[in-house]
Amino acid sequence: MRALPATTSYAVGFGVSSFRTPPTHLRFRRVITAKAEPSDKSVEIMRKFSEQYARKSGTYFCVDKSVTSVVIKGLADHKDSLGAPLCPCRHYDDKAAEATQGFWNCPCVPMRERKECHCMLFLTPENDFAGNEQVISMEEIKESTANM
Amino acid sequence: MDTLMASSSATAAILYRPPVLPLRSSNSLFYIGSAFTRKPLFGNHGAERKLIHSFQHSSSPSSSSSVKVQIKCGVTEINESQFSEVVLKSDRPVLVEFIAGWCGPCRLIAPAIESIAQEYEEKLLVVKIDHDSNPKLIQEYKVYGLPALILFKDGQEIPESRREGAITKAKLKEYIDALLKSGKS
Repeated sequence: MRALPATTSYAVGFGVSSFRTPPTHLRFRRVITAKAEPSDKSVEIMRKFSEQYARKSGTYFCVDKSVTSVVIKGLADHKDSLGAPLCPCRHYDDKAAEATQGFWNCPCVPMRERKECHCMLFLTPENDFAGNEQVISMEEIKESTANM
Repeated sequence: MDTLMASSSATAAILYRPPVLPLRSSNSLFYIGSAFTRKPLFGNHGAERKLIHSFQHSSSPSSSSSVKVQIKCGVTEINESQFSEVVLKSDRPVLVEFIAGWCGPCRLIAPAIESIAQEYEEKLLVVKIDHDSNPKLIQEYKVYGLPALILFKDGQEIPESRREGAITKAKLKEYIDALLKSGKS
């Protein structure tokens, strides 16, 4: 956990970029978007998985690696909270049920069947956003998501 | 996060960086904090500067309940309780973006959405809604894939306006232009 100054709720080098300053009428209501950091262990697991699966499926990471990093962290976060890496770019009425059911567990069925990854984690070479890399390091992940 | 605030005064002394200006009311406290120390995300400089300006001009919180929400700058995040007021009763068309915290494409299109919000400030209101904290809204509008864009006009969803997934800025402009034009006819 980051060390936080023991003062009021305004940001001092806090990196509150998970939400912008709300407009005045909201300012005195705590609108907290829960975005806890996933564990390093899970991020590492999902990082390795992403590299391996990209190689296996012949897909590539996004030109903008911060997209890749964010999705990997999202997968890690779901792995921590639900036990399974549910796709982070979807809404679920019942997350636990979905995690057990498995359709949206990464690699999800659309990806396995049609190489369709709308998280933009695994991109086919023809995709406009596809880069030419199938690797991503932990440093890259940490750097691109450092301001979150 | 609150538990961390209860750290000892010694730690607080080390970690606490006093603001540049002397503290007065809690209003200015927020102002100082947000003006000098927050790091912008993905180049939101324009939006943040504008937010600060609007804060300067707007009056004390006591005016908030009766005054209509004046969202003038960039993309504002709203929730279910404000949806009706901000989106359905808006005088301008509203572009609603549904997002998720760890969704890569949502981050990718954030700068494009931001610049559209500023460019079309007079003609269009742009808001974003987090899916996790607003499940009822998601269920009502059946938004499951994220990011999702829906354009609302006169309190109604424009049916052809639903879009899911990332989009380039150029395509986003085309999409908005087409919808705004069709809305006018």
